[in-house]
Formats: sequence, structure tokens, C-alpha cells
Amino acid sequence: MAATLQTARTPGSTVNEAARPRRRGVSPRMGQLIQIVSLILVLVAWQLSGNFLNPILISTPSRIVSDFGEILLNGQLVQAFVGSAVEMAIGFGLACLVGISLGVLMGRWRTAEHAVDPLVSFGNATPTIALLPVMEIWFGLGLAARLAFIFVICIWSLLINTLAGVKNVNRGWADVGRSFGLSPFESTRRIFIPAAMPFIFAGMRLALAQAAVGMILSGQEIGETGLGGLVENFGSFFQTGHLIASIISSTALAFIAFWLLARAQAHFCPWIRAMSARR
Amino acid sequence: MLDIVGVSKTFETRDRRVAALQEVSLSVRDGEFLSLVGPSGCGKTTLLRIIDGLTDATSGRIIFNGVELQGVSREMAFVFQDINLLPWRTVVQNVEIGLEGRGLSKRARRQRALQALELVGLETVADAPPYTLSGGMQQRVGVARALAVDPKVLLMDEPFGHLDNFTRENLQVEVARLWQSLKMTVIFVTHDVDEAIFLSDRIALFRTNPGRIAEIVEVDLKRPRWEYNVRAEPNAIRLRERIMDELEVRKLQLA
Amino acid sequence: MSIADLQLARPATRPAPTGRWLRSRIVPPLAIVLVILGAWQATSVFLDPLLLSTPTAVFAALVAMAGQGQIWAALLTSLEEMFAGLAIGLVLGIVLGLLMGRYWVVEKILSPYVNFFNATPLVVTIPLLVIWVGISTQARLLFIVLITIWPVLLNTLAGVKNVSQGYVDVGRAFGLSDAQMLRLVSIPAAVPYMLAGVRISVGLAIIGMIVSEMEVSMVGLGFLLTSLGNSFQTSKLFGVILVTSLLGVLCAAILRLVERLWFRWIGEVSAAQR
Repeated sequence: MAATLQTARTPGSTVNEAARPRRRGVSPRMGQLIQIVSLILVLVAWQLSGNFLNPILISTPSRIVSDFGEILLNGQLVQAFVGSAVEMAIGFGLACLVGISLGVLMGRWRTAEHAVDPLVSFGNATPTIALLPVMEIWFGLGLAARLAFIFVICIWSLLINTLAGVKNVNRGWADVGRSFGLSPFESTRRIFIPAAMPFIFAGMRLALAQAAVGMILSGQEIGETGLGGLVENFGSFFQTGHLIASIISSTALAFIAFWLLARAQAHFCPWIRAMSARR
Repeated sequence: MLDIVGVSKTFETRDRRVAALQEVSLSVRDGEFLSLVGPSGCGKTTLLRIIDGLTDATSGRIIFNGVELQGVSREMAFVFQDINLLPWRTVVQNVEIGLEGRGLSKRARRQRALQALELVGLETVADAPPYTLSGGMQQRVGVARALAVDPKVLLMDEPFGHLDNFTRENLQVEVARLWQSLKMTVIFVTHDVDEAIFLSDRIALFRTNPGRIAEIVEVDLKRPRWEYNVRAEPNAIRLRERIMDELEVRKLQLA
Repeated sequence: MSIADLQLARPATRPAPTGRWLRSRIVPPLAIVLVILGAWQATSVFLDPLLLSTPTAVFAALVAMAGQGQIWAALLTSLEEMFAGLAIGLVLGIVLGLLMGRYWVVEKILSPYVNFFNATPLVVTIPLLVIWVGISTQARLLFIVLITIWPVLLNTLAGVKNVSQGYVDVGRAFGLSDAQMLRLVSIPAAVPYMLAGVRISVGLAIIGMIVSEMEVSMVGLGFLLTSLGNSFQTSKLFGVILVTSLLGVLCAAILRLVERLWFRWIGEVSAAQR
């Protein structure tokens, strides 16, 4: 059934969240030290590898840094980065609007839920990546197709998680709404939506990761723009240093996006963190 | 002023039907403190929820001041066993919830809410988030939330069930005081016989399977009851024995 | 089960007075599906069939492709790659997750890379993989492995670390060695988390397979999708998409079955021990 929650590790979670510190007798300092030392060792080994390995394979840190500087200064990176970021934001934003609203509607109106449920299950099971050629046919090879693709990729997580959140609202809170005479609409607005926020944010985290994939893929396939296009371009010319620099930039974009989402949650829904911290 | 007439409630699940309540009838007097007492699962919470309109009865009627009730009434307010404060709202915002959608200005709402908080002595934490409060304080907010809407009838569903003994006894005194000064009707569900004796004018004793009222006893102890040791009163002891007999015998019969 | 449970449970959907139940749960979705199919068919009247095709055309195309064998070959290749990549990814993910969970040194050393790759939209790495191994099965395999490792790794790690302290204490009280602790306490307790991670990874494996085939392949479902799309053969395209959907549904159903069987087995084991 469509409303089973997509749980467990969401993208954007880190090893730190997965691994609550329970080391006995070891100071966190020691842990950080080991981490830094091992990182440095890897970087050094990587750099040295350039002496006997074809740089096309994995390049070297120094070359990557200089290539990074190059594409930064000539504007290529900035243009691609901003273009990608904007497309991802628009696609994700629209999907949030539609997905969350539909999720709330379906969660509160049983008929809507029953009616649309099989479609949602089907849509969720479809690897939406497969719809890329369809977007090209419908929208041509431009911005519209890319936005449509990103939209279609991430809407399901938003809808399903919102739906699950609204349906699983604590019965006691729902009772409070009814007992104090709130209309169903008022209850939805003042009780069900805030109560579903943890689920909605979880859905947004999933959708954001999917949007990032959609952004890159559509950039590669539809028009060779943005970070996707950059990566594709450098790849075809075997410019590995530039390629890796672009990969790292993509990761940075994703990190920033998740960080923004986390800030949004902390700002609008501070109670979520505070409550789970208390357990 | 509140008549419960022939209320029955049957729950149906996939495998069985449970008769939670069977033909329960009861008249509640204006301004009295009435307790519903019985073992777990005897339907007393169900009855309270039916009175408030949270649950629908399978059959029967609730008549309030001559008018048959359909669903929730503005004149009644509910205090929940699980407290159920909304974590995304501050304390005062929680208290305001019953006042929203009634056409009051924001300031007027906050004013009324603060007044209700004063009644339970929590006006100082008005802007705190509820999870920073202890269980006892949270339930007092729950009571304030109910009082804020100025109800004629206050329905309390084992409100102190999840609290420790010390907090519970303090809150019992507070409820007794509030009832005394505000002069409203209270219907109070509990499985704690001593609590019922301390607080009530009358106690309705429930049996289970199916849920029904076995007997209604008068509590003939002078008030205010926080000024002496109720538990030591001979009248109270006799009453307690009688109630326990009534409830216990039934339990043995079921075995 | 007391009245309290009943009250707090969801207001029960009345058990099959069949008329009402049919009407509320089967008819609306069925009706909507039929309406959509009908509307879809009707669009061919005013819409260029290139855009949307029609249900009948898609069905016909599917039948044709099935007869020609086009689709079976593609399906087979895709599935082979997907399961191979998934298998490797799961094994690596679980092993690394266990190691990181058990030895904090490993965790400290590996976590920057894990965090990095988990956050990256891994599609970006495809051109790099192509540079390494060319447009080949290995590239697709590598990609699928790369994409499936992280969810199952993180979940296994979480499972191991979150073993209830109570169980660990019991283990220590009985003097279990590290290996025994791992085998008897940590791993069994981590299995639910692992399964959740596996579920996510399977979904990602399907996506990884399609993406890699769209970009670096001349074979498989993904390639079929791209070429059909490029040649505007919409009916066949939708047919293939339908097949991938069914694949996804099938994998999810199989996983649910595995989970249910696992937990029933666990239930039997613990019941037998009482």
C-alpha cells in the first residue's frame, strides 16, 4: 500500500548519526586525530601515485586543485553550479508544493486516498529515471524537460511520506482538535500538518537526494548544461582533474542543499530535535 | 442537567464484537462532582468520550439541558489521560487552542489563556515549550486548557493516571479547590477508589463485560476535604469497604 | 484485548459486509484507473499519438516486442547486471558496516569517504568510471555497486551500534568473546536495520541499472529506453517503462516476502525457546 513509510537511512544522514558514540575509555580527541592522520596519509599517497600512474586515471590532489581554480576563474564552474542549483531548487520546490498538498489531501480525505492509492503505488514503484526519454519527447530538449524530470523524480517521496505522516498523527492530538470544537479544516491546519512535520521533512530529505540525481542526469542528457553537462564534457575529453573537481563541486552542492534543509527544519520545527533528544 | 439515556456501545473488530457499554443510564446533577469508578476495560472512558462527542454511541442519547447532543459541545471540555499537549506550541498557545475559531482577537485569546494558567498557577511558564515541563505541570496545563473555554461540564479521563503518587495527591487537592471555587459540574473517571472518595459527591460503580453501572453511591463526607485526613474517617472507611466489595465480588465472579 | 485497546485503535473498517467494503475500497480506485485509461485512449483523437500513445497501442507494442524477443534479451542482460552489482554491493556494504560498527578505528578512518559518497549524486561519477573501464559491462557493474553500498552500509552500522545496551550487558555477563558477541548479539539485532537498508539498496540498484544503461550501454532496458525515445517510438517506450515498473513492484514484493519469512522464523525460534 502506498502509505508505508520510506524509513531508515535517508541520504544526507552521516556516519555520525548512524553511530552514536559509545566508545569506552577512548577520548574523542584520539578519534579525530586518527581521522585526520589517515586522511592526510591518503592524500599523500594519492599525490605520490601520480608519479607512476597515468594521471588520466585518478589525477592528483595538486592537479585537481589547480584545475578547480581554473574552471572557477573562467566562470565555467560558477555558471554550471548556479544553473544546476536553480533548476534543482525549482523542480524540488514545485514537487514539494504539489506532493505535500496532495499528501495532506489524501491523508485527510479517505475517498481521495482510496482512489489515488493504486496510482501512487504504481508511480512509486516505477524507476522514474526511466521517464527521462518521455520528458524529452514531451518537452523537447530544454529547461522545461529538465524541470519536469526533476519534478517527476522527487514527487513520490514527498507525497508518500506526507501521507504517512498525516495518517499516523497521534490519536490523542487528533482528539484534542475534535474535543475543542475545531472544524476538520481547522484541525488539518492546526494539528495534522504540524504533527506530520517530522515525516514531511523526512520525505523532503529523500526527495532532495533524488532531485540532485535528477538535476545531474538531466544536465547530462538534456542539453549538456549545468554540473551534469560539465562532468559529461570533461569525461569525454579525458580531463580527469577537471572531472574530479566537478564531482567534488556536485557533492558540495548536495551538502549545501541538505544543510539548508536542516536549517529550515531547525528554524520552523525546533521541537522535532528537542523532543527526540529527550528520549 | 445532563442525562445519559440507554447508551450502548459495541466495538467490532475483524474477529470479535465487544460490548463496551450496555444500556447505561445516568442523571448528572448540576454542579456536582461525579466519579465513574471501575476496573480497566469496563467502559467508563468510553462513556466519557461518548458524552464529549469524541466517540459515537451505538445507541442511546445524551441530553444536555433539555437538548439532545449530536457530537461535540462547546459547553464541555475534556482533560485527557495522556495529557496530549501539542509539542509545537508553547504552553499558553496550547491553552489557547479551544479559543481559536471563536472570533476572538489574538490579544483576547492570550488574555483568557493566561487567566486559565493563573488558575493552575503556571502563568510563569506561559511561553515555555511543553516538553520542558514535568508530567504534573503538563497535566495542569491540560486542565487550564479545558478551563479556558469556560465549560459548564468538565470531563476528566483518569487525568492523574500516569503521574507519581506525590504529584497525584497535590493535583487532587488542586482539582478539589478549583471545583469548589468555579462551581462547575465535573465527571471524573478513575480506577483509584480513594481518589474518587476524596473528590466526589457521588460515585458510579461500573461492572465489566458488558460495561454497565452496578450502583451509584453517595459520598457523605464534609467539605472541604483537604482540611482533614479523609482516609482516616470512619464513614470513608466504610464506604471504601463497600465499594471494594462491590467491585471485587464481581471480579471473582468472572474468574 | 481490552476496550482501551479497541478505543485507541483505528476506527475499525467493518469486516466485509461485502457490499459496502467493495464499494469503498475497490470501486473508487478501479473507477479512477478505468477513467484514466479511457481518457488516455481518447487523447489520440486530438493529440499527436507521438506524445502519449494509447493504452491499446502500448499493449500491442508490448506483445510485438515480446514476440520479437527484443525485450527478453534486454531484460535478461539488465537483470544479470543488476543482481551481480547488487550482490557485490550488499556484501561489501554489510561487511564494511559490521566492521565499522565493531571497530571504531575503522569507523573513524572510513567515515569521511562514506559521508562523501553518500551525499554525492553518484550519477556524476559515471564519466569517471567510463574513463577507467570504458563503455562496458564493468562500468555498469561498478556503478551499481557504488550506488547500492551506502544505504546498506549506514543501516548496518546503525543496527550494530544501536544494539540495545541491555543485550550487550547480558552478553558480557555471560562472558561472550568478541566473535561470539558479534555472531550472537550484534548481528541478529542489526538484521531489521539491515533489511531496511537492503530494501533501499534494491530500489537503487534498479535505478542504477537503468541509468548506467542509458548512459554507457548498447544493451539492456536502459539502452532500449534511450533508443526508443530518440526514435520517438512512444508506444514501445511506454511498454518498456511498464516492464521496468513491474520489475520494481516484483522486487519490492519479493523483499516483503523475505522480511515476513525472516520474522516469522525468528518468532518461531523464540517461541520454541520458551
